Amino acid sequence: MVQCNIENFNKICSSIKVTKSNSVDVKKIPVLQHKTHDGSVPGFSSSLVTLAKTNNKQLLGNTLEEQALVRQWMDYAASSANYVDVPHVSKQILKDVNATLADRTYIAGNFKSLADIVLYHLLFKTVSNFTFQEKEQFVHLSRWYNNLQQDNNIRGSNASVTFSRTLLY
Amino acid sequence: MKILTNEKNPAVLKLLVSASLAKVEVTCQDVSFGDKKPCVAQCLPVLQLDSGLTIASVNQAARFIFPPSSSAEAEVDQWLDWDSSQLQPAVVYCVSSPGKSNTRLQSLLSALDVAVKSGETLVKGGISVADVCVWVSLFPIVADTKLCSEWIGSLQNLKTWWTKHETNPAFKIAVSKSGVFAGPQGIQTLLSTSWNASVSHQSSSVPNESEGAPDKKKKTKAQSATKSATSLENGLEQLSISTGPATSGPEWEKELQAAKLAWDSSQKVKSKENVKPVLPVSGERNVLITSALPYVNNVPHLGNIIGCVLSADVFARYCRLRNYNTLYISGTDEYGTATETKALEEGLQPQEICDKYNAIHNDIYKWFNIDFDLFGRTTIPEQTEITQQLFLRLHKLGYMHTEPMEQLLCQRCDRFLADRFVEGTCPKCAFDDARGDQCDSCGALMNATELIKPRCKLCNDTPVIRNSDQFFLDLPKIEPKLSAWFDKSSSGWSHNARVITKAWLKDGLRPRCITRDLKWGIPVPLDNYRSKVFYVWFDAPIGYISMTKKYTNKWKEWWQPKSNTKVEYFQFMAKDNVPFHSIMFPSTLLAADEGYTVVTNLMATEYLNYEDGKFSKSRGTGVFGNDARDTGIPADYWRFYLLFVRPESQDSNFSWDDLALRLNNELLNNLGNFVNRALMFVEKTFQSTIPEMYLEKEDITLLALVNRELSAYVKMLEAGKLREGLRHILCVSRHGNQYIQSQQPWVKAKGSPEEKKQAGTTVGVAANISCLLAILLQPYMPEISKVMHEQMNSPKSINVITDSIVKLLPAGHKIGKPAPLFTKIEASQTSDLKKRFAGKQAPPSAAPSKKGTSAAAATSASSQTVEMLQAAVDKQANLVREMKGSGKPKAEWQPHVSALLQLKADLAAAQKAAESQSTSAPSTASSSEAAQPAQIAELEEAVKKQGDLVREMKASGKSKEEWQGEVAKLLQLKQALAAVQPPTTTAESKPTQSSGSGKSKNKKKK
Repeated sequence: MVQCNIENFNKICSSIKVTKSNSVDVKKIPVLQHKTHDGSVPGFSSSLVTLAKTNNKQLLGNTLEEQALVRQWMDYAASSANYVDVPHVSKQILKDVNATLADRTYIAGNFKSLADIVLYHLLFKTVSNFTFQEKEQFVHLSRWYNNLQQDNNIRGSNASVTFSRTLLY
Repeated sequence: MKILTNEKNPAVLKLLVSASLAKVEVTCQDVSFGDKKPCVAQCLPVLQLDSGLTIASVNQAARFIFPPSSSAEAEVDQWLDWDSSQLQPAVVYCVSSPGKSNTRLQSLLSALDVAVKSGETLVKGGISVADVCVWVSLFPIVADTKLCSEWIGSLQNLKTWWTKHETNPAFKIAVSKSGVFAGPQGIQTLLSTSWNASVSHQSSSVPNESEGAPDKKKKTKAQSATKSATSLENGLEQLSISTGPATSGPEWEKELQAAKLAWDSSQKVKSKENVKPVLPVSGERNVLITSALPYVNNVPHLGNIIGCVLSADVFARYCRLRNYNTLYISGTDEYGTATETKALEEGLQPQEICDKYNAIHNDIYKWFNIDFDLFGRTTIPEQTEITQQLFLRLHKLGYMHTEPMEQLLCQRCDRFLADRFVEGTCPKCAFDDARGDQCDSCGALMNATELIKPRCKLCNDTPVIRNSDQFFLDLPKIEPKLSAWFDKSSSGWSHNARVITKAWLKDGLRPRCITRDLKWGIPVPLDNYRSKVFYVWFDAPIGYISMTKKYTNKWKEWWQPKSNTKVEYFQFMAKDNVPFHSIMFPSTLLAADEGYTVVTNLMATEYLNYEDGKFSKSRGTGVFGNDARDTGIPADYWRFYLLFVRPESQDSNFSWDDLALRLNNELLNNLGNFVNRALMFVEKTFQSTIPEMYLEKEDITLLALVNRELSAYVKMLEAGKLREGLRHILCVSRHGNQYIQSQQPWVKAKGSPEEKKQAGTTVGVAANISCLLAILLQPYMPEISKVMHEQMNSPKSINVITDSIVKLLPAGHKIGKPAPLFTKIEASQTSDLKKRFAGKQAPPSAAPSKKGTSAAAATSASSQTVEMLQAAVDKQANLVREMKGSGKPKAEWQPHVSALLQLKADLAAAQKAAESQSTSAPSTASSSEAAQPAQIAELEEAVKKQGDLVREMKASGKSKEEWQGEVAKLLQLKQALAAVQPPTTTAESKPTQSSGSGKSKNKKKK
C-alpha cells in the first residue's frame, strides 16, 4: 500500500545508476533499524539523496536554493506521495503535484532532479490507471509524466503510459 | 528571509530555533490561508527566501537556514527524513486520537531513547538541525504535562536530552517569544496546516491501525486545500454536458413519457405570419425591445455591438420564434456637443455628420444581420415633438424648476463645455483623467463643475465658471413613485442593473439638470429659454418612443397600451448606461403619469475587453464594426463568438486565439459535425428521404435529454442569459454526436432488416434534432440557420420554438443537398489578424485609403518573397549539382539536398499565396519540375538506406530512444519523396523499402 517500498527504491537506484553495493549504511542510526509501521523503507528519501550525492550530484540542484527545493520534494515524496494509492488522499496529492507543475517544467523548477525521478516511480501505478478524463484533469502532471517516461533510464522496466491529446467529443 | 505561519503553530519553532542557532535574521509574519498564495498545498509555515522562492517543507526549510556540516550531512538527513515521515505523523496521530492504545509512537520513542543514550546530540559533532527538528516535533507532547507522563514517563535518556536543549537559550527564547501551543491544541494548529501531518494522518486509517479512524472535523485543512483545485474543475465542467438531475427514478420516467408523447403528437404550434406593423394584442405576449442608442459620432466597436444591438437582436429573434408580438427598435443618438465638435473637426454641418455616421452604423448592423423593425435616429421631427410635449407636461405638473447653474465656459474655444468635453481629477477617487459626467475609474456620476482642475478637452485650457439658468428635473419629488415601481418590477432585471440602481436610490436622488447652452439639440419650448437645448440624456431615451412613432402611427398601442393589453418592455445596454434607463427615463415617464410603458426587464452587460486591454469609443482603441467585416470571417461566426463570450455576469475578454478555438471546437467539430453526419446519412443511405422512425429506449432517452437542454435554453433566454442559452444548443448537438456514435447506424444499415429499421430510426431522429438545432440557432446565427433549413428543405411553418421536441421532419420528407456548414479557422489566420489589430486604430475617415494601400503592399511583398525564394532555389540547386559532380561523399551533400527541398516547398507555398492575391503573378512551376527525376532517385536511395539503418538498430536490441531519432529522419525522407514523386510511383517505394539490409555509413546524428 505504500509507494516508498523496496521495489521502488531499487528501481530508482537503477534509474540514477547506482548499484546496491554502494548503498548507504543505515546501521549508524538506531531509529532506522526499526521497521516502519506501514512497511515503507526507512530513510527512503535521505538514502536516495545520499546515493545521488556520491554518484549523480547534478540531480540535487546546483545552487543552495535549488537544492532546498529538491529536498523539499524528496520530503514530500516520503511523507505524502508515499500514500498516493490510498483512495482519499490520492486526489489531493495529484492536485498538489499538478498545480505545482502548472508553471514549471520539472517539479523543482526548470531542471530535471532526483525529485522528478522519485515522484515518477511513486506515481507510476496511479498514473497507469488514469482514465482519459483524469489525464485531462491533471494535464500538467500528464505532460510532465510523459516527458519523463521518454527517458529510458528513468522509465526502466516500467511500461510506457499512453497520453493522447484528442479532445473529448 | 521571512517565515509565514498561522498563529501559534508549534512547527514554526523549527525555523526560529534554527535561525537563532545559525545566527540568521528572519522575520515572522502571521497569515491566514486567505492571504497566502498556495505554494504547494496550502500549508504553513513556509519560509520565503529573499529571492521570492518559498520552501514549504518545514524540515528542509530549517535545514536551509541551519545547514549541517558536510561530514554530518548524511546522518542529519536521515534524521530529518525520519522526523518528517515517521515521528511527526505518529505524534499527530496519537495525540489527535487520544485514548487509543498505540504502539507506533511508543516504538519510535523508545528507538529515540536508545539513540540519545550515548551523547548529548543526535549526530556527533554538536547540535544540528536534526536535534532541532526532532525536539520541536516532540514539543507538543513533552511540553504538555499530561501527555508527557503518558508517553515519555519512563524514557529517561530522552527526557534528559530534551530538557538539556530546553535550557539552551536559542530554544528558550524561541518558545517564549512565539508562544506556540503545546498539547492537543498545538497539534490542532499543526494539523490544520502541514502537508505531512495532514496527509499521513489521514492515511493512518489504512490497514493495521484502522481502529483509530481520524476525527472528521480535523480534516478542515484538506478541505481548504482543495479550494484552489476546484476552480480548475469548474473550468472543465463548464464545457461538459449539463446532466441536470439524475437519469433514473420516477421523475426521469415521467420525462421519458413526456418526450415520447410530445414526439408522437402531431405539431400544433405553427410559425406566425409576419404582419407589418407589429402591434400588441390583448391576451398574447407582447414584447417591446430596445437597445441603447449607439452614439452617432463614431464607428461602433465589438463591445458596443455585443452590449446592445446584438444582444437585443438575439432576444428579439428568439421572441419572434416563440410567436410573441415583438417589436425591436433602435437608432442612433445624434444630438449633443460630441456631434457638434465632430462636425467642427471634419468641417461639416452637424446634420451632415449625423447622416454620414448613421449610414455607417446602418451598414455595420446590416452586415451583422441585426434584424431591427426600425433603425431610426433622434434627429427626426417626431423626436422634437414628443420630447417637448413630455417636457411641457412635466413642467405643468411641477416637476421642473430653474436654477442658476454654474457652467464651464472655455474662453479660448468661445463655447460652453458639455460634460464630456471637460476632463479633470475625480473629486471622489482622485483619478486624474475623469470625464465631466462620469469617472471612468470609480464610475461616479458628477457635474462637470465638481471636477478638480478641470480642462477643456479640445484645447486643454482651463475653463471658467459662468452662471446660467437651467431647467432641473425634480428627481426627489418623483423618488417615492420611482422606488415603489423599482421594488415591484426589478425582479427580472440583470443583476448588475439591479445593483447599480439600488445604489443610486440608496444615495438619494438629487435634481438633475436637463438643459444645456448649446445649439445642436432639441430647443426648450418656452420663451426666454429658446436658445437652450435639452441634455442628450433627457431626450435620447425618448427616441425609443419617437422611433416607434416613425415606425407606425399606432405607436401609442405600444407605449400607452390599453388596460387590457400587457406590454413587456426589455432594454439592452452596457452597464454604464444603466442609471439613465433605470432612474432618469422611468422618472420622466412615471412623472408624466400618462400610462407610459416603463421598462420591465433591464438587461445590462458588463464590459468586453479586447485582448486583455480596454475597448473605448472615446479613446479609439479596439476592433470596430467595419474591421470585423474586412477580416473575411463571416458575420455569423462573429455573432457566435461575441455571444459565446458575452460579458453576462462579469467582464469578459475578446481574444483571437480563443475565437479560433471556439469556432473550430464548438462549431466545426461539435455542431457542424453532427448536422453534417446526420444529413449525409439521410442522403447517402436513405436517398435523401427521412426514413420511418420506430422509437426505442435509446431514442426516447435522447429525446428526453434534448428536452432538458431545450427547456434550459428557453429558461435562459427568457431571463436574457443569452450566453448560457448558446451553451445549451451546443449540448444538444453533443448529445446528438454521442447518440450517433453509440447507435452506429453505418453498421446497422448493412445488417438485418430489424437493424436496418433501427438505423433508419437513428438517422431520422438525428435529422430531426438537426432541424431543431437550425431553429434554436436562428437567434444566434441567422445565416447558418437559413443554410441548414435549406439543406433540410424544411417547411417554413416549423420555425417556432416549442417546449419539447416534436417531429419536425416526418418520414418521407425529402431533404435538400447537405454540405459542410463551417470552415476551419487556421491559427495563421488569427495570428495575422491579431497583428493587424494590435496597432493603433486608424481614424475611420482614413480607413478606406489605408486598406487599399495595405492590400497593395501585401501583394507586392509576397511577389518579392517569391522572387527571393526562386533565386535561393536556383543557387542551392547549382550548389548540389556542383558537389555531386565533384564526387564528394554523399554524407556531405545530403544536407544540402534537404535544404534544397525545403526551399522548394517554401517557394511553392509562396507562389500559391501570391497567386491567390493577384492572379497575374507569374507561374514558375515548370522550372522546378525539370529537376525532379534526379531528385526522386536520390531520395529513394536515401529512404532505402535510412530504412535499413533503422531496421538494423531495432534488430540489434538497441533502446527505443536511440533509434527513435533515426525513425523520425526516415519519415521525413519519405515525406520529401512523396512530395516530389508523381502519384503513380508511390506504390513502387514499398519494395525498395523491404529489399536487402546492409550496414549503413550514414550514422551521423544531429
